[in-house]
Amino acid sequence: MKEKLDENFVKSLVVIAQGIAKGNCDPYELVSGAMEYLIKNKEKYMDHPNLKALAVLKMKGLFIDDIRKSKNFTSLTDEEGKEMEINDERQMDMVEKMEVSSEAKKVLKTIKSMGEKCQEILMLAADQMSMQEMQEITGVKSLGTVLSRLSNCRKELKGLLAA
Amino acid sequence: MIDETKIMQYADGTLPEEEKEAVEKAIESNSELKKLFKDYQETADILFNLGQSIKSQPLPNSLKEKLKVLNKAQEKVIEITKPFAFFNIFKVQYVGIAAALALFFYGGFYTQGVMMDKKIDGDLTVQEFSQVSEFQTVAKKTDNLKLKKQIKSYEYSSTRITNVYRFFDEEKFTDELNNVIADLKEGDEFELSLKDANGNIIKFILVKTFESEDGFQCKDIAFKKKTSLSRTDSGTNLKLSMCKKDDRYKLVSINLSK
Repeated sequence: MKEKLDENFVKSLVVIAQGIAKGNCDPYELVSGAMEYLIKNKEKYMDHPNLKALAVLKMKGLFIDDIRKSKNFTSLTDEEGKEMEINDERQMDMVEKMEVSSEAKKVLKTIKSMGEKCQEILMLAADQMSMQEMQEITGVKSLGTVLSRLSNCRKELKGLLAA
Repeated sequence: MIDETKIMQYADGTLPEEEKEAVEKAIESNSELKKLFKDYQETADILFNLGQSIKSQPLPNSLKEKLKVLNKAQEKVIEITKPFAFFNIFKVQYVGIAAALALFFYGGFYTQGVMMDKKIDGDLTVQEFSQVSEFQTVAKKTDNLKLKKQIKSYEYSSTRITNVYRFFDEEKFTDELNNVIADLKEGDEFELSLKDANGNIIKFILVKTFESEDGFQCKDIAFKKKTSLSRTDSGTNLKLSMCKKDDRYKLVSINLSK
């Protein structure tokens, strides 16, 4: 594994997980699951050039599994971008219990009230990821689309925070 | 007119040097762009502060423990030489073998897109090629294959795979299939209890029986009709390769094509 595996690595995953978890899914559980996956597959990924991207991808998969287990298929959307209809009250509760500033809670709650794609890309931006890294993780083919999505989501966030 | 994304990149300090002058001029001469620029600066700060705020929280002990285990594993793994195993065949260094197998299994069947997903120790590793020609090129250039491209493919394909798994209960499918597979011949159509995303029973066809290069007995099972993987998917062909290991057929790859 080429990437340095320290607390910052895990904390980055925690930030990104906030943009993936919805409904009753706990972001910390996603991080925990991704780490277990890396431990289990340590030999396979020892030379992986982007372990964080791999872990994020695993978290996305775990989130889907979580939804699948709860038999909540119908409210899930596809990669084409229709909004998720999962009740996120539980997410708001989790944010409220976080030991972060009230400003951070407000921003995080606002982001969690936004669409699936915005939640994901804004939390990737909050982790200070580059456009190329965002492109890898979101699976968007064109860098222009990533730029455009981030631009639109930031404008939307600004509008919601100002409202 | 300057693209808004250029303003965002300028605000973030990521705009290429050669484009800065034009963007600066546009911002200076246009009050709307000036406001947009300030808004982007503001959201950059907001997101940065949010990230830092979350990261300032102490990690739960459970995650710290896992981190320790991961670091120990990282140290140990350097000393371990992994034995070759069929279900690990798709490890990067074996991509050539896997690609060659895939060409053998699927080459010529698809003209638009080929996607191979190999199963490894209970997890899926994904390899996607947008065109057959690209697929073949990669097969020839396995030594020079860029890892970056692999990850990108992995992530893009994974989204589609997760769509498959929204309705595909692999364990149940494998159990049911193993109950009937001995009686099936090539070309036979059959049903299991598996339903698609719309709740309709899926019809399968046993496409072919073959032996893998490693000597495993394998069968390709195709979905008879195109299956919608998502609300916007007009239909995707799915084919599952099942190979017999320990007296039981197990899923070794999923092939998706349009």
